Amino acid sequence: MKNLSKFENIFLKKGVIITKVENFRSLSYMNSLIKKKLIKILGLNISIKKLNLNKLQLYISEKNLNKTRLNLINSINDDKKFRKNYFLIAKNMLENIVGNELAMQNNINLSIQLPDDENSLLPIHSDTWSGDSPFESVLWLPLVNCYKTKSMFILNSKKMKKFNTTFSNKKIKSISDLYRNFKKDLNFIKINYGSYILFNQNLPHGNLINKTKETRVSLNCRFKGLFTPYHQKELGSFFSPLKLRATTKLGLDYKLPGEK
Amino acid sequence: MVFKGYISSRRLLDGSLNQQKVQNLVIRDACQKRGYDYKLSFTEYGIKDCFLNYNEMLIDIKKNKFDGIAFYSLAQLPKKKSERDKLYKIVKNKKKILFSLENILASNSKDIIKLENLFKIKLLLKNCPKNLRIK
Repeated sequence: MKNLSKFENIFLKKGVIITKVENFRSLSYMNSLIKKKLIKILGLNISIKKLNLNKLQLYISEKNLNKTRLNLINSINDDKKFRKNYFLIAKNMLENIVGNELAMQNNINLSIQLPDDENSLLPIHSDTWSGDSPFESVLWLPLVNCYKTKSMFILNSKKMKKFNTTFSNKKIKSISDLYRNFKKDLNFIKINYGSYILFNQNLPHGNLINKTKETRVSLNCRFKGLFTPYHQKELGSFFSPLKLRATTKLGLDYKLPGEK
Repeated sequence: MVFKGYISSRRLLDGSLNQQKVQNLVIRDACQKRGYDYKLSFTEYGIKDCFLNYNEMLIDIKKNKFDGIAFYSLAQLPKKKSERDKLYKIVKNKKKILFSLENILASNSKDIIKLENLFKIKLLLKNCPKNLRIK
C-alpha cells in the first residue's frame, strides 16, 4: 500500500486518520441497506434514492429515536454481508495500522443524532476508561457529511500530557467539569460521506448536542490485533476473530506426534 | 418513573467484577419488576477512585432529568462517607435510589439509615476472619 509510513506516522502522532474508503461498492451496499431497513422500520412510502439521511428528523421523533436505532442496529447486524463490507472499506489500512491477524467487534454500532437532541450524547471519554483494551482502534464511518457539532470531537493528541496531569490533580469532579477544562483542546472532525476515520480510542473523544439543522448517521466498530491483550470486552462476547493467517491456522490444529 | 442506570467498569468494593452487559440486564430486570422506566446507564470509569459519572449523575438528577438512580449493586457506592451523603440527599427531593442486585429501594431517611448500616457492615466483613479455629 502506498504512503504506508505516512499514515503510520500520522496515526502515531495525531491518533486520527481521515481518508477515502477503499471500496465504494461496500459503502454503497451498507448505505442502501440502512436506507432500505429504515424505510421498512418507519413505514415510509419513499424510494431508497429519495431518502435523505440528513433529513431523518422529518421522519423520526426524539421519543421513537432509540427504538428505531436499536431496531436498525439489530437488522444491519443480522445481515450476513454487512460485517464483511464494513471491513472492506478500510481493509488495507486496518491490516497495516492495527494488525494482519484481526479481531472485529461482534456488533457494528450505529448513531443517529437528530438536531437539538439531548438524549444521544456521548460525553468526553476514552474507551479504555470503561473496559476497552488500549490495543483497540475505532473505524468510524459517516453516512452523511459531518461538520461542527454534527460530527464527533477528539482531544488534540499534543494535549494528552496536560490532560493526564490535570486528571491526576483530582480537581475534576464530574464529566461536565472535565469537558469545561479541555473544551478548547477538542477538535470537531470535518468529514464527508465517502471517507472514514480510523482513530486511537485512547484519546478522549465524544459528541455534543447537534446544533446544525441536519441529522448525523454514522457507524462505528472496534478492531484489534487478534493476539493482543483483551480487557473487559473479551474475545467471544464482544470481539470475534476476523482474519487468521495460514501459520496460525496450522498452529491451532497442531498436535505433537502421538497426541490425539 | 424514569430511573437512570449506573454500572461500573472496575472491581466493586466486594471484589466482584461483572460484565457490563450483565450489570445492565440486572438493572433492567429490577426496574421492570417495580414498573420503572429504565434509561441507559452511566458507566463509571475504571480509573481507581474515579467518580466522575457518579457526580455527573447527581448533577443531572438535581436538574430533574430523571426520578431515580438504579445502581447495579450497593458495592458501587464510594468509600468516603461525604461522597455517599451527596447521594443520600436526593431522597429529600422525592427521588429514589434502587440497588438492583440486592433489590433494595431507598426513598426516605429511614431507608438511608438501614442502607448505610448494611453498607458499613459489608465493608467491615472484608476484614473479618473467614473461619474460626477453636481448639
